[in-house]
Amino acid sequence: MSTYEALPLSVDRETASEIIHDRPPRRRKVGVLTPAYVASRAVTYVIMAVTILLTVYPLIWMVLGGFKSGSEFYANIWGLPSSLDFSNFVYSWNAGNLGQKFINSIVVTLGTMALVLPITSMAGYALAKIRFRGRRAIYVFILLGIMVPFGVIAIPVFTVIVDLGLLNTLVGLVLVYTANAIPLGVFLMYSFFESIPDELEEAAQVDGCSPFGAFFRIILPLARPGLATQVILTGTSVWNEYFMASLLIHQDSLQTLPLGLVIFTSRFGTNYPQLFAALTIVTLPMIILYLSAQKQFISGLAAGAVKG
Amino acid sequence: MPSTTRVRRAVALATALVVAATLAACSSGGGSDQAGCHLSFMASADRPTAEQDAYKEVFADFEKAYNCTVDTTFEGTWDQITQQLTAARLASQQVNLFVSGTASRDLAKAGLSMDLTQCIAPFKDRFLDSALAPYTVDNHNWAIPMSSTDTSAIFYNADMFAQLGIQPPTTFQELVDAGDKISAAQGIVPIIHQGKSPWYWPMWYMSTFAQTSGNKSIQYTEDFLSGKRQFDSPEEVQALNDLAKFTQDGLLDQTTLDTDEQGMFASFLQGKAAMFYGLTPSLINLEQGNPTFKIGVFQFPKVVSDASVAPQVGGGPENGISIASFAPEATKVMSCQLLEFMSRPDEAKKILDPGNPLVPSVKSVPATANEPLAPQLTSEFIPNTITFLDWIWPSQVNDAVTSAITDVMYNGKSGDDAAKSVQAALDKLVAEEDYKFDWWTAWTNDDWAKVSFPSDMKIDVTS
Amino acid sequence: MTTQTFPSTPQVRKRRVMTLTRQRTMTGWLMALPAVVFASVFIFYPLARGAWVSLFRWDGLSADMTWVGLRNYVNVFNDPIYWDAIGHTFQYAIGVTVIKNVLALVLAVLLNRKLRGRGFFRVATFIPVIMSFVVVGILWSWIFNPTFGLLNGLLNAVGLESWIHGWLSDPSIALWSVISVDVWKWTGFHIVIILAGLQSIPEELDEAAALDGAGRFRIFWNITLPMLRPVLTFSILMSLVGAFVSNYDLVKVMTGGGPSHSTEVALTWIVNTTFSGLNVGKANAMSMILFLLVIAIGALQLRVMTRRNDISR
Repeated sequence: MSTYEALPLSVDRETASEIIHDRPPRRRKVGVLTPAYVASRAVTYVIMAVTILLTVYPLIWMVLGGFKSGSEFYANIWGLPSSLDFSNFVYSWNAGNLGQKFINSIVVTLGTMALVLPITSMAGYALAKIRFRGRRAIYVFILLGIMVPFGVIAIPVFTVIVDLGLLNTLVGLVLVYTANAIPLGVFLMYSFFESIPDELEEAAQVDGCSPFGAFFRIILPLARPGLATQVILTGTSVWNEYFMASLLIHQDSLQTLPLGLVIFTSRFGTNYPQLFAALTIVTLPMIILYLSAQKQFISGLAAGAVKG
Repeated sequence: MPSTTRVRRAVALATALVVAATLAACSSGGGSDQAGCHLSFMASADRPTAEQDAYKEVFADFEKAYNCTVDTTFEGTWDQITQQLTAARLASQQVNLFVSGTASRDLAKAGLSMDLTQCIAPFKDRFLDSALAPYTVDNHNWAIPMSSTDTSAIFYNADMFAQLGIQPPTTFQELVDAGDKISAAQGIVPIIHQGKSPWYWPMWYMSTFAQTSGNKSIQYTEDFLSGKRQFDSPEEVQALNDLAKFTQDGLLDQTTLDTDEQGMFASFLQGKAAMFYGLTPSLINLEQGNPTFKIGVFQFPKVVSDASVAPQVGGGPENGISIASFAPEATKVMSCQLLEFMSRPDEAKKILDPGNPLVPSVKSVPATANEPLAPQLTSEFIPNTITFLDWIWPSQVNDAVTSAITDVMYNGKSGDDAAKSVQAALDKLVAEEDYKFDWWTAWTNDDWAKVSFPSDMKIDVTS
Repeated sequence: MTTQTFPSTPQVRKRRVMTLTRQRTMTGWLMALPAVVFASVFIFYPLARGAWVSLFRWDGLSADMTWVGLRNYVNVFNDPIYWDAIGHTFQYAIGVTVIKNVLALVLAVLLNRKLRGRGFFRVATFIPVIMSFVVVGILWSWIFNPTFGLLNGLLNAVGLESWIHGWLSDPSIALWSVISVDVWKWTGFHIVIILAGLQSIPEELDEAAALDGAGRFRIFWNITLPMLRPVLTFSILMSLVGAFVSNYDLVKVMTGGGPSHSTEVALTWIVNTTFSGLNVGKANAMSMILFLLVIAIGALQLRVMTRRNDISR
């Protein structure tokens, strides 16, 4: 038996719930507060605190930077701003026309999700669960896509989009992003479906479901953790993508947020407080979204990892 | 006044909306319809919003005068213009005017921009000769300069200098002495440079080479690129060795290598460095940081003893506006008219003002009143400004020179070895890509015809 | 494995199975088709086109391309910067993969017990995952700044002046500085994965081992680690995926490949060759070589990714 089967399946559901509710794990009880025990906990807490500081502080610094004035930024780079002055935020929002760009970014990100999730789930399921001629070839073919450096096929991709008449359209951008996300997505979904016992599907088929039916009614709902992982990975990369967008979009009204940020840089002298205000405006929604759904994301990712 | 600007804005906005609607309605084809005159302008987005608005305002004025709409696209950064233009051309998107800047020679070579010699002949005298020069190759103009003419200068903390009793140095030895005093008194590095960005290294070499070559650096550079001269000739090697002294004598340190413009400003403004070698636009941006001390400026010091040699530095107007050769034929004369229109005194002032020009490329536009050093820079520095060499070098050579400079300054490489590596880079370029410096000599009449205006073209020239 | 369930039954059943097989093949292809189409149109067709362009000399601007056969490839082989960049690319990919996973494993093991604020920790360390590399790059450039940087300031404050470095200017460590930022961004992601793996290990196993008198380290080595293997494999795969080909943004923002190409990775050099060098043919030759190299390395990866049902069944 390989180690892949070593994981008892029965644990999964329990683990998932444990992760969702963040119950502390069951470990052997240590009754006595030995010095070694206390020291080890103290060290752990210190490491935790330092790590949290390391991860969160740069973000806070960016937000605070948006409140500083031009001269204050240089005089007081790491300190707190002297006042909570929102003028940089207001300026950035207006000067960058960020409202329109927000809408474009949301449309592109949701559009990509709407394509990537079903496409990768179907492919992953078919490749993992339906035994048909050529499935291994297809799987290898799609996985090869992970190794293609996307940046360097940019010009040919651009030509394809032009040939399709999709230059300067958000649809073109969505298609390119979708293609970019598919190889990893298929891999994730494949690993995930693989770990689901065949019996479930067989039972569904016995109940009269077609393979399609079994997929949509029984299997897809079980695949939520895999989907959550993809939402995090694909969602953030699409939201933040600059290079392809700069090639495919040449119309102010269609620009996405990363394109809009260019206006805050300059060949001579970037106004950092304004740039930070703009970066904050762009980053914060993602962080809020993440914080509000972090349990789903984290538990999805965790369950996906354990199962996959 | 405010109300008229508002009206103008509204008109501009309405125009933009109409244009957008038209664009949305038809699939952005060639736009060859004769009926409505329509032009398209493209520039990078990393410029002040005030400047972008000024362009739009000028185009609205143009529409009123010539009944021809001009839509604008501001996107990407200044070094992406070739990329953007390639994209537009492959997509057969209409582009008439674009800000070519440093890429103007590459684009001319590729046959993408129009030869403007004939177009601008009637109004050429509106521009400073020194501003037009960088966009002129073998007496053909490929762009009109529409910005401040930048020059390079060493900016210093005048209060600190006064306090330590240091006079602005004129020779390298004086600079070293000043540096020693500063390090001893303040414990800081005398000069900071934005060395993180590779673009800003060649200006050092340009300055020493201008002197070691006896003010023949442009000539020597063209000779080198056309294979008539080796880069490891004594003048080039000496120029690199002179640069090595800047680090050897403690004027610059390792910090410079990962300092960008903001880091440089911050160092200078907080008194952690006494001087920086920069371009004039930096000065304008520096003042946004409200310096608490007086800023002074002096020329790059003399590294050679020959009194007849002048301390020249690199410069040029950042924005050059070109006309795309792949635009519909019918729009080309009108595009030239637009160039003429933009360079009229009132219109040019609108475009140049947001950049606080120290030395406006259009003669009729007054220099900014916001900068106390402007008169000094104009009278003393501009006469000693020559075209940036990195506008002449192909990018591979520029890259090699940049490496050569940092190698001699920081990695202990000898000037001779470094110079050889630059020569090798050019040799490789010639061998691998058939690089030809004087590409224009190989152009056929056909090639020229594609980038030339109709010989009977007529435009209005008003002043 | 269930593929071998063809029953040795009468002809009638066999025919039914045949149609079932055909139906399965149809369904399988149909469901995989969209993914295949997307990958073909937007990844492999462009790749093939890139391969074609790599046989020409082309500046990307002019209308005409000049056929040069394999000359671009010869030129790439003679381009020392490219091979340095390839070296950096591998150093980056392997460095990032190893450090992320080791760090995440250590932190996850530390965290795998009753601790106050553990949930908060997990949420906080995950935040960098959702930030863009551009934002991350700008923030860390300031932290590494030699004069104002938080890092040097901190070292100064705690009396470790000798540790102060030009983090991004010293060619010998600049690449490691960039790598550390990549690690910073992704470690939270791997902590979540590995922690989940740790929590799924039945506690009884540890307890039994402890009763047998095994030390903590031995328990970790002999029980935890083997039990964790599938999850670690997944975690390593996730960090290896794209590790060779997704470093462009960060390097571009933080160092632009400098100083003296010491942080140049294949992608930055390819993009530079395309858009500054205006040598699209050569850039495409570089892309093809990079692709082949990554495939060679990736073959192993591909094997792990596809082998799951082969090894045990």
